[in-house]
Amino acid sequence: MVNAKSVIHQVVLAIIIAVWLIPLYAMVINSFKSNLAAQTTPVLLPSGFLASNIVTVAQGLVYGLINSAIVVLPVVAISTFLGALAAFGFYRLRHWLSDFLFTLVAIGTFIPYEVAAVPLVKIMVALGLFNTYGGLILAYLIFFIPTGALLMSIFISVIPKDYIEMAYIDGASDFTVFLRILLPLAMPGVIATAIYILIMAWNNFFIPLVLVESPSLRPIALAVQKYIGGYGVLYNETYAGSLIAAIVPLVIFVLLGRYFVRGLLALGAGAKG
Amino acid sequence: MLIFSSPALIFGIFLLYMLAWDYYFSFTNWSLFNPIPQFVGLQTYIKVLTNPITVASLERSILLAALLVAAGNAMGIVLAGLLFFLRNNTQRNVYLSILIYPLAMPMIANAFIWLWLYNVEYGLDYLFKAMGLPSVNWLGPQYAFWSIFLVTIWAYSGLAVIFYLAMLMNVPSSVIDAAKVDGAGTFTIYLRILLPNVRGALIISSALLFLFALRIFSLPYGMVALNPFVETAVINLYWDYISEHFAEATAIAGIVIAIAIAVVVPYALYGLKRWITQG
Repeated sequence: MVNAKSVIHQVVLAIIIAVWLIPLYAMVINSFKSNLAAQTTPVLLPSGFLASNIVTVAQGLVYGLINSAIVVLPVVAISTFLGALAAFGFYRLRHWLSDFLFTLVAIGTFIPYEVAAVPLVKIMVALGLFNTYGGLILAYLIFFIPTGALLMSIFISVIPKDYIEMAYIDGASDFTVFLRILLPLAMPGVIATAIYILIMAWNNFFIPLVLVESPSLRPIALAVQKYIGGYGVLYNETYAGSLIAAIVPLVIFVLLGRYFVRGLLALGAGAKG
Repeated sequence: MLIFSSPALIFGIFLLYMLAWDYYFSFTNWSLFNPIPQFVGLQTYIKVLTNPITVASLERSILLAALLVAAGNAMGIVLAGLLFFLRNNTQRNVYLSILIYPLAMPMIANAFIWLWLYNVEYGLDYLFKAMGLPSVNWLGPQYAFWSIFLVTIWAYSGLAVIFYLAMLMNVPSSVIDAAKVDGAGTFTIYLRILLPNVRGALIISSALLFLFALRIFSLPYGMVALNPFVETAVINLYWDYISEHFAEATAIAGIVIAIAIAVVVPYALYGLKRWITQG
């Protein structure tokens, strides 16, 4: 009886997991199909292994990967550091102002980016930053510094207060406590925050859609959409483009996925325990 | 201590300024045809809320968010339960990663992957035909919304799973052992003992799924850019911006901001903030 139950348990889970993997499987097998195979075989069946398709698509999209790196890496560093600094400020500041700031940070983290479309474009035009890397970075920071502050608030809240109190008793300054005590203790949280922001900023599509006009400045998510959008191309190219858009976040997810999960959990204050 | 928060505060104020900017221009008639905005009171809101396509897009966004909250929580409860009772930790972690990976993928890539899976000739329909099932025009006007809803379940359910699973793992094992001594079966233990202990996950998952759903743009945009049957409110906003109906775009933004803030503020103050200070 117990055995039959556990067999059903395993089978049900295996089916669901298999269904979840179908899109990943389709993306990988179809990225390596020839043009002929893309016209004669269905998406779900593998057919040969041809590197030239994905190599051609990759050559057309390398610039997008470079653009994404140029924009996203500074955003990750600045958002994580300033976010941690702000979170430390909230932590020390037991005040109505801290509630206000925390709410503001939550709004920045969760509000749909799209509502900022018109003001973002008009303000960037006015600042001379429309269609520049600087404008993209600034726009990302508006949403990701709050994300950094929100996540770091959660991670700082689980650090035992004694460690920090002790440092103050020893006469350390606020900034020393932050750099020497808090950041090292919160290091797993810092990494989680950075990984979460890296993946979310890398995958962001809407902000560059409205802020970038020159093809040469497009980050990868936008570059892929312009390159393969719609049913106008053979599906082996579409899947190869998707794979190139997804490769960086996917590799990070495979290697450092537990930090990404911690980041997601922190969105619900679930970093505890 | 405020000095530490001030850099973030500056960006926060920048964001607030943009939101205020939206509200300011939503009370004007600014567009390609009226390049000098004039104050028109609520007229733009009336215009937007009597435009059937915009109203449909707002209703669709709210419906999609509500459906995703329901389906995501259901999937979260079922899948977290199935994962919780696995004995092998490695298997549990691998399965959890597989349920979450869509969240780490660019949504625009997800859109393209599903675009072809939903292709009538080459996609899932090929399998349906082979099995003698009728084929479905997934992205046709009749089914497109539901097809995209299915993709959102695949993409976002993992979010609910991690919260339910994390909270299940925190239930003291003594509680489960006591129920086992009383002779309760696994299913009863899950329903009667464990689920009442993870009500927090319901609040978190619902708030987050709702907010993630509200910003869904790339998925319908990448799959069926011009199909009005799957246009979400934020896509409608984007088309208004592209066609230089700036006042209308900001009015839609005003409505979406109000809906988002109505969820974010209580969630931040009565959820997140309280959980932090309690710990």
